[in-house]
Amino acid sequence: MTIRSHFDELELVDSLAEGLLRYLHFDTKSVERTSLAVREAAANAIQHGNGPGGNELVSIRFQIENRHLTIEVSDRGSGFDPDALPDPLAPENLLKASGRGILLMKSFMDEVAFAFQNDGGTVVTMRKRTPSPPEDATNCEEND
Amino acid sequence: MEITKRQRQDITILEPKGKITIGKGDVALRDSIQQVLDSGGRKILIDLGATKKMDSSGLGELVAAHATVTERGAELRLMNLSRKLKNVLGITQLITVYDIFDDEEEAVASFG
Repeated sequence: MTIRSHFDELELVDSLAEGLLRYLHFDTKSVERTSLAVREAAANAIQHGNGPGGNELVSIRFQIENRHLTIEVSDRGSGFDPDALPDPLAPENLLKASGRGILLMKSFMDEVAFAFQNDGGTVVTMRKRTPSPPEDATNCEEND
Repeated sequence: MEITKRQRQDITILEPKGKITIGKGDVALRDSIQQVLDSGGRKILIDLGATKKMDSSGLGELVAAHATVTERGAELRLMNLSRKLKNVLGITQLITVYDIFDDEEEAVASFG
């Protein structure tokens, strides 16, 4: 899916992610946590990548393969150094108003990686093991 | 997002309903707390029982609320957090920052 760089679009991201996760038989807790990770990645792409209200788009790609759900969130921003981000759990940062999005993403997903394109743009790749093979989920639907 | 406000003695109870997320509800919570403080309120209890979702921006608003309330010499408590909100507050260690209650009577009694 592709969304505009507007925070309103995150409602659509929520709906699509939650629907897909339920279809894949994630339990309620995992649906809540994984969809929040997707929201955080998309919100970062808007806020820190493209800039809110800008003309650039945010791309969100869901791929299911080998019992893993892979989610890629791409923006056209100038990127950042993940190693240089302040630790939101450090005592001096605990009461800062921002800086917790990536912590939530890493807490809720099995893997989170950042890649920066030569021509500009950041791709956040997150992976989560699916509770059952998508083929099984399809069969369940057909058998109902 | 809608925020209802009610009063119990000198305690103002704010109840945000819906999402406290980026661009949607985060500013509303900030404005509500500011209004309470500006009108002389010094004891604020946020009832999060009807808050369906909170992202990192929503958490940031809670942190900002804590800072604002403390600066103004007021007190802030939270109550009725869902399992998922407690989880998010736990991951971010913000659960150590707030006085959190599951019961309104206990929360009310905790104010000095």
